[in-house]
Amino acid sequence: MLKTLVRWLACAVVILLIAFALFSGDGKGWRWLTHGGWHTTARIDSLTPQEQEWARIAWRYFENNTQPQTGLVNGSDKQPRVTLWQMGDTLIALLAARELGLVQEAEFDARLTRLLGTLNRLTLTNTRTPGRLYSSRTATPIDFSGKPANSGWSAKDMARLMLALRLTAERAPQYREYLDKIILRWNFCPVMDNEGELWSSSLQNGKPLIRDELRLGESEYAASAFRLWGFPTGKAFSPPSQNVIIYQRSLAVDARDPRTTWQPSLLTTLPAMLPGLEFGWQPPGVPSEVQKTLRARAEGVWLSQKARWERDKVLTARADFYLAQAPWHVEDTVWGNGYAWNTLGDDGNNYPRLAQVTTKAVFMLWALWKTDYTDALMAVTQHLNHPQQGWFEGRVEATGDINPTLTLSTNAMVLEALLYKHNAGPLFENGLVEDDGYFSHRTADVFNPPGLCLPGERAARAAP
Amino acid sequence: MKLKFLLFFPLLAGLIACWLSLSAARAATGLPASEFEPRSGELTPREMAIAKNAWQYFVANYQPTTGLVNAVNKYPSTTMWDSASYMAAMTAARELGIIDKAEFDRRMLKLLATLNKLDLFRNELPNKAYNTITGQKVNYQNKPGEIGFSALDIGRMLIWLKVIKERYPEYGNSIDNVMLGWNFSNVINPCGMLYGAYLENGQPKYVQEGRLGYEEYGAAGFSLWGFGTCQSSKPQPYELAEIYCVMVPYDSRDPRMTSQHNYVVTESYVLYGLEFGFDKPEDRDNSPRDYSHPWMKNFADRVYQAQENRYTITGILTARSEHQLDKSPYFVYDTIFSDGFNWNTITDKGQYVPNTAAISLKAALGMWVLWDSPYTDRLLDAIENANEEGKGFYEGLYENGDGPIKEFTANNNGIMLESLLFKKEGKLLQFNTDNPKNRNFAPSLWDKKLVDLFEPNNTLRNRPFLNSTPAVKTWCDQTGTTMRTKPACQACQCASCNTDEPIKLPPVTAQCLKP
Repeated sequence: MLKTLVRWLACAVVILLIAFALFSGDGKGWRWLTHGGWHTTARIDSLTPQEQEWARIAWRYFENNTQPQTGLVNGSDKQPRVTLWQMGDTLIALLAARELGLVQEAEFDARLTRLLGTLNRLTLTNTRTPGRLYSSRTATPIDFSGKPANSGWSAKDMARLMLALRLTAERAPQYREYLDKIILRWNFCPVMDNEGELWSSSLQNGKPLIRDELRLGESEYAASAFRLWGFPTGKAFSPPSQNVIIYQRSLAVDARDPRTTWQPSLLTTLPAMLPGLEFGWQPPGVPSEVQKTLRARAEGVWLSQKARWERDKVLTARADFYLAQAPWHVEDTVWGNGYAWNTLGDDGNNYPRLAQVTTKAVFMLWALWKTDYTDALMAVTQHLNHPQQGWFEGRVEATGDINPTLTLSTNAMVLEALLYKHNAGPLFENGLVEDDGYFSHRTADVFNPPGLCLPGERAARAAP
Repeated sequence: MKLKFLLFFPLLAGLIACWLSLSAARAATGLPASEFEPRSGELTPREMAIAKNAWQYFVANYQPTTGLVNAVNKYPSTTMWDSASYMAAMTAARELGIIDKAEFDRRMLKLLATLNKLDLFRNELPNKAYNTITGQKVNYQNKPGEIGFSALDIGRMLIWLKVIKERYPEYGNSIDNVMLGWNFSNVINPCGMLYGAYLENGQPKYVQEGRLGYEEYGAAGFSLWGFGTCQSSKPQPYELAEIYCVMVPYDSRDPRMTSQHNYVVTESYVLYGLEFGFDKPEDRDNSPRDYSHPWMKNFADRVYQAQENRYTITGILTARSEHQLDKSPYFVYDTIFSDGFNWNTITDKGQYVPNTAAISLKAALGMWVLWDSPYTDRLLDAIENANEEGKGFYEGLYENGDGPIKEFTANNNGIMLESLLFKKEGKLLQFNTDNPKNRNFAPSLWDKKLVDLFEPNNTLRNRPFLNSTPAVKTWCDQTGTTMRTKPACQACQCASCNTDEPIKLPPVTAQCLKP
């Protein structure tokens, strides 16, 4: 009798201990278990006080640069211009700020409300697609000098905003209807063709030029975002590829020739790692072989950068970045247009002296892989900030100088990486548009179709 | 009976499994190209006709005043490289019976006399270009003046001077005199790195010259005459490019920094194969399938295989080399790989001109003779009649179907003749004169100067040391010559390069051909 009691008690104590281990400390242990912490290489844990501070600094950028009229955030510090990609970054940063406790529910609502309103009123271009660049003050399309302009659209930037909207719908479901309405205004007829290829438009000599701007990596990422909204997947998921060899590792790059298409063929951190942070390289609704290649390619990109550090002793974290002088925007790559570790300006020239350890790449690699290499990267990056302004773009490889430009994307990426860690894994639970949501109801209405080449309409049209 | 059979079965199965795995392993590591043997044998009438047609170029473009031959049809200018191609053509014509010894001698005497009288760049080495009518040194516009020297052009000339000297020792004297007139101070450094020269604001500049393939070919010429060529003979630094499932090596020195293109073409490897049979330069053995320069043979196989695979996969008949054009930009590097891109076709400025890509006839015929394969048979069918009566063979056939490149050059026709001679005689460098290792060694004029401590020009002109063998010693003792000795410490001059360092071959094929 006593023996049985002791046994029962011992059992209860063990169960209690396990339950305590799993659910104490904000359910840290439970999260660790359910998110596969026992087999992941990523950092998944609640934030340390220091990391909380990092997040706060990144959020400072948003506090400083929010335009009160529109709720939009400047793309670069004090520069009232913003792209759709950066609007997407803003939404993700806002979600991260709420989850990390940087803003209270009321402020979250106020900020999101203003953004939703602006996005729903965004002046579209004459093709009824969102433009490439907007004034963050007035939400009208402008060019780089700030003059009103009609400069085509970018499928890549549209995709980032669409993805951010889906993430917001998942994490703040009460706003789902208003989020759906943003997309329901856009005209997708010129953006996506029947084979699932994404097209972009830019102005050349005053005339719109429509072309396939997306290259391997970006193309699959953009297609994943379109897939979240139910758009058919296709060509954009399988760009033509060829292999290049870096440090005896074979890496796939886009096979379209940059010498004849004038579109650089690049391999860099962002397009490879974003699907990791957001979907764990398993975007929903995407064939499993595509998911496998996405993961394999991301491995290649990060391992090559690690190999460069280990063999050549050069700290490497490559991503595109901005500069305070010409050439303004630089594509810093693992491989670009024929050369490993190429650093290309937007003017197409090569600027090896500008190569840098880019903050946003460091944070992404640091979040996704817990290794000596990412620790070393973080060690040179963790002080690259101004506590009252935000995170700087990066540290120059050639000189060790700081590139003190402040941009929205870098600070958003810091928050996104920290959110990944706090969330203990990929940001999306599922992400696909719901069958019973406003979006689905609206697009399935055969008697009053929106006429914008939305996914439901395509199905209806395809039916006999 | 039945039981016995059953006993044998596992043994049989084991053997089959063993054989299968072995053949699979071989398929995984080897290239089909390394299985193709070089062609050899007497020329067929069809091949003789090609040889005769190619020789027409040298009949039409001979300049009686100097004995030189125009590098490009009717344009009276030439380089050391093209003159070496002419020497190759002459040798082939004589050996194949297109010309007799008398014609050969008349041409060779004249040519060697001109080489001996050349006005050198800064009294060092032959200028990059010469007028074939007057023999004056000229610039690229064929106006009198000097522009520098090319270590690779001189390297090829050194190979052919050696080939002629070994094949026809009667010319040894003239050839050694050419060599003794040259100053090698600036063309090669103690580590065996090759330098070319050019003029900048009237001052000569010496810059490292040669990229993987050409560099080793040029170095082989220097090494034949006794120079140490450690650094330029090494394949490093190289990287690999994956081209239609073949890992093709290319020089990894960055063309953006050095303004030298790192092109991979057939010519450099084909020439090495024809002239040295993929042996080390000093290898006196003539056996055709015993390659004493394994990495050169292996890299050549890769360059061949990438081109055959391109034909198999895309249907474009491919044999690439740098070549002339009959229209602007007049000259392109038509490559397997260059400056970051597979199948790059660029001008010397680096501009991409894909429409000028062509089947190079010299590359096609060189590949035909070095790799006996169905693919090279097809190449020969494509090029065999691409010639004009009395002018020789066209430079190439445009890949885009625009027909022939209606230009004729000494290099193209010379290498075509070389290839045919290779079929008849095997590797073209055939040692004939005395080996310094022999006991009855009789040194040539060049050797005599090299061993003599009191020959002042040895140091002044950076001539190499002749290795001291017992025969050399005996000869010195007999003639009372004081022997020049190597400095005791060679490593202090070049610690970083080790000639005997073994070369580990990189992986050959990519995974993409596997199911």
